[in-house]
Amino acid sequence: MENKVVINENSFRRMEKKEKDLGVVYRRSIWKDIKKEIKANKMAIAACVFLAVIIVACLLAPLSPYDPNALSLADKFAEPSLKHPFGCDEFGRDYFTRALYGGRVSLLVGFSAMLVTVFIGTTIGIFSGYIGGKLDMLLMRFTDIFLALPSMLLMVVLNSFLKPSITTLVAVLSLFSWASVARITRAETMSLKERDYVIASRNLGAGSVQIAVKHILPNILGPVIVAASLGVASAILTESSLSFLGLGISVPNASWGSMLQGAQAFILDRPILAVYPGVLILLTVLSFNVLGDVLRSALEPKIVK
Amino acid sequence: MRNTKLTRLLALMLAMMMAFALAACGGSDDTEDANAGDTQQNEEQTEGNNEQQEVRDTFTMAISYMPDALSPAGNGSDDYTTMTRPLFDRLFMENNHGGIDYYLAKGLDISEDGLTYTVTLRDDITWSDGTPITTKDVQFGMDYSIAKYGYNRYCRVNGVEGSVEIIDDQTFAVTLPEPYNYFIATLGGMTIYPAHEFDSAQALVDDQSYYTTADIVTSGAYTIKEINADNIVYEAREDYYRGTPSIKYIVLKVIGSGSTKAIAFENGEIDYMRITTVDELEKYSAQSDKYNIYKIPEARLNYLQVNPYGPANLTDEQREALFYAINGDEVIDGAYGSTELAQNPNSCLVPTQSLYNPDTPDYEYNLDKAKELAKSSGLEGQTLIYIYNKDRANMEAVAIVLQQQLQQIGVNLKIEGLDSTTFFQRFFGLSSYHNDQYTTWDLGTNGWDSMRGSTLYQAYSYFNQADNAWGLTDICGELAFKVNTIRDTEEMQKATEELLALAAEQHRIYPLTYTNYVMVSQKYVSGLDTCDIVPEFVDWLAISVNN
Amino acid sequence: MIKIILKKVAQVMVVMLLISIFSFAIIELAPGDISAMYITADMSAEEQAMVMEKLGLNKSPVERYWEWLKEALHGNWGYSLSYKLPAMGMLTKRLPSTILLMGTSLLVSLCLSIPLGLIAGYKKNTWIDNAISGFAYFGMSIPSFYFGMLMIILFTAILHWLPSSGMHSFGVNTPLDTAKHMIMPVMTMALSSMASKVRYVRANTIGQLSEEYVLAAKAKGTSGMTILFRHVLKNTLLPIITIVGMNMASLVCGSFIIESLFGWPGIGSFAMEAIGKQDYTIIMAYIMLSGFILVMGNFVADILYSFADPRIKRGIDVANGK
Repeated sequence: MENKVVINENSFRRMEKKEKDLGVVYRRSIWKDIKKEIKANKMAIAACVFLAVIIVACLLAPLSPYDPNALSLADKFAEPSLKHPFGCDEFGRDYFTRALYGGRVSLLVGFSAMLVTVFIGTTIGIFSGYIGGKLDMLLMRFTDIFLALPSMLLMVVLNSFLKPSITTLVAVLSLFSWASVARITRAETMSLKERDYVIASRNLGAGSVQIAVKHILPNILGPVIVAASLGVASAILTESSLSFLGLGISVPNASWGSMLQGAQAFILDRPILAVYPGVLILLTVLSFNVLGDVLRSALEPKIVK
Repeated sequence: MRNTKLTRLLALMLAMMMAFALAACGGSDDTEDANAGDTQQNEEQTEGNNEQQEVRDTFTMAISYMPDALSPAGNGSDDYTTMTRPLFDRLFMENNHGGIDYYLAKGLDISEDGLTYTVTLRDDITWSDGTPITTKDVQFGMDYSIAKYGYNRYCRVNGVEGSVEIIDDQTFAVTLPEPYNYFIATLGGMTIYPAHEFDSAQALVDDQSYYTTADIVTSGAYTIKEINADNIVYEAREDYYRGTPSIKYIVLKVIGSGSTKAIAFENGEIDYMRITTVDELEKYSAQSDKYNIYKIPEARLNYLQVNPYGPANLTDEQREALFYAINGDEVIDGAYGSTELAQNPNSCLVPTQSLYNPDTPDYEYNLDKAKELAKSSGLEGQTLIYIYNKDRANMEAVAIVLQQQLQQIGVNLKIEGLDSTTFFQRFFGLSSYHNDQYTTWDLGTNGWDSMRGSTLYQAYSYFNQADNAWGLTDICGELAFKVNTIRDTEEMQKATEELLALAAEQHRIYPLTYTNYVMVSQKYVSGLDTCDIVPEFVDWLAISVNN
Repeated sequence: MIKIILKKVAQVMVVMLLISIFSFAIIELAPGDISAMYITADMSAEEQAMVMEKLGLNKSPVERYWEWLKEALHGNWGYSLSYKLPAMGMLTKRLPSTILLMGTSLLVSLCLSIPLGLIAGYKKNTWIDNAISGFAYFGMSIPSFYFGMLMIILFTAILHWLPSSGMHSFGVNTPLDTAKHMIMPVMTMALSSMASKVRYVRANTIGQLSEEYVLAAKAKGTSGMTILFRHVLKNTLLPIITIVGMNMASLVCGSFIIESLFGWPGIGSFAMEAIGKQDYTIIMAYIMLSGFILVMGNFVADILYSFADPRIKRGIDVANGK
């Protein structure tokens, strides 16, 4: 609640000065908070560094001398060496290169699902919260259903009907995760729309869309950023579960989840093949979770550190 | 005093947990006493040391799910067939050595003209409740077919029904409208129900709940002793007509997915499992003091089908380019890793069939020619949709290898792995399911079960496809039909060679692999390959757990 | 209070109805021919045509839904396509195993997470806190099937302590044997749901510890542990109810993968098999059943919560948009 009070003061000041660049004030303070918080937390720094390394490495994947999908049967199950830092898989494909390309898919799915989720969730949340009344009630019941659905099962059902691809995965993942974002943003919007500055702005003749974009959106950015960070984490986790069930992207391409699924056939005798993708998933998800928490405590000072 | 609250809380939770556990076990408590003896036996067995001198009497098999009914009709899946084999016997079965193994029947007589099949049942066969198995039960099975499908499938060839004559309690004769070699397999595998247990065949078609209980009447070597939450126990019949099996109990136990099965096997929880990778094969072969390895030729041809109705609508030249680009040996090496698991085939027939000729010319691998043809025919740069059944072992690996091979001639495969149900609906969309999904793929890998004996078996239905689902010319169909009706061996062989050469020319079906069914068992198990038929284990008298 | 409960019951019914519409739509709108799900290769062409007619596939999806709903309300959930047996019966037969697994892992996760959360909060920012928080992070970040696999390798393949799968050993029917089979699936399931609870209790504990009543107790000379387990615990348990309600979701859905992995004979692994066979009546019945468990979990949590703390009742209603 406190941060809303802070924001409140700012907005009044801005109203008085009739500044044009409204959003920036909040955003700057949000980023400042985040920066400060991350700097103070060693775990957060580690998470940021790890994610930066992983993202850069995955982006640079094409620099690898190996084709991630080309067979090289002579190198079947090659041990880790200088030539193949992670060794080779059952088709002699360089495991390191595959892990990088797999990371691209996993991260792409994670980020895209998060973006779609946040976009849908925030739009519905703000809309519902701001307009209120019957429509709000309807939308919230709708949201409830999505929260009450056995989502994993439906994802599996849907995915087994649809053709496996990154787009399908993103669509299916976001379809079942926007509801909680909508809930959060709606609650925030509800409390924001009764604030004096919003009422003042409305009285000054600002339209609903203008208020939603200029006053409400910047102020709910905090919780949304937190939800986004945790959203990436859960999307990557869910993608790996779907891949484990054989419903991930199609061969020969890999994601970390599908590499893990492939490795589990050899897990008794070549456990190392399951270690790389497993640990990559674990650390990446962990980093996003840590980051999400740090962001939360930066943006919602109510939670005691 | 300090932690009273916590202690109380924990106590409460523990109590609830116990209640949960007890509730769960309460359901099947009634079987506890009966099993007390086996319990110890089993525990010792699980600890599994070879010094163990005690007589074992239990064989444990892994199943991937709990079946809700165990019916002789089967549901088309191999594991279900394996589950029901100990309970229901067939009339007879063609074996790998050109002969017939008899079970419920003691004789099969085929008339000179190949039209009339006279079957004599043994006179000592009984259902597990003591009722003799007679031609009444055979009649019931036929009535069932009529009630379910609208026709008697045990005397029908190419859509035309013949006739059945029940001669006496032990003998019946089936007369076909035309000679049909493959009929031996149909007749031998006929589903026989205990007629005295049902009001009418129609009643059984309408309600299968009879087969959900442990009280069902069986014709095989075992009866169901109990059905538990996660396992089913079969017990050997004392009055089984072929003698009493040495294994007293068969336990079908649900084992988790993925590598859990291998772990369960190594932990001694199950007695055998199938292996599909060269890694496993090498590992278990190296420990021959602990395990036995069995290799059964699966009599299965895995092949690549070029769909004549696919979106790419490939021309003769384009198909030829594709076939030149496939390196069969690399498929075996890449997807199976060892010729012990699969061999590179040279024909659409498998070596266990008597019509098979090892000298049938195989498709040639010639990358340069393939590239040239791909360019000239406009195949280069195309994307083809490739479907495979991901429930079948090694098929994903085959897809990956083929994809890389075809990429070398500039063909891009868009691979779709489907589960069995979806796969069959698409692959057989035209021939069996009559839907419009058959136009949605260009290439597909499937396997056909070639069985044994002297006929084309399943190859027949591919070559002689009335709706031309596989794109072969009509002459192929006529030839296949001829092979299936010829009674003279030499003539039959000649027609077969002609047929195979003709089919090969058309570049529609590329034979990919002859697979072996490889199993590993605990050392004390023996006889798993006595009857080398897949799905495994027909003759339960041959299996022993005291090796 | 009765009025509130009635209102909630009405809500549950509406949600269930919408779930059914939604899942029906998913199956109906799935690409591919819906009739394909009913037709098998061993049917003759005539029989296939008969099936199509019997299904009324010429009718609109709305009409078909209406028929399904009418039947469902009469307790008839249709016959399994692959087994030709009543779908709901096949599910309820397996339900006790799933409830046993779910219930136990819920209890285990509560038993472990509450004390861990309290201690972490009490010892905030010490190595104990760091270790517990690290553990919680680990639990929420590791894919559950991966953790399960690692457990099987360690406890079955290497140490030979526990059986890899199933619920009973053959012929053994003691609670101890079942407990042994349960350890791994329960721990795997509990781990992921524990994480959020530990963190929640910890945050709450920290908040409570700065409350005045704690200061007062301290001033009276009460020891730290007594304050923690006598006073703070009480105030932390209340909000846990909501968390447990929300956790139903992860339990219901988690049972799915875990049951398949450990060969646990419950409804989750059964549904998984049904999906493979496209046994649509079973999928539908499963969605309704697990949706019901989930909604009821939330419902009971809501009711308990408003009983326990009438203060919050109004708050919930506002948050729910009333």
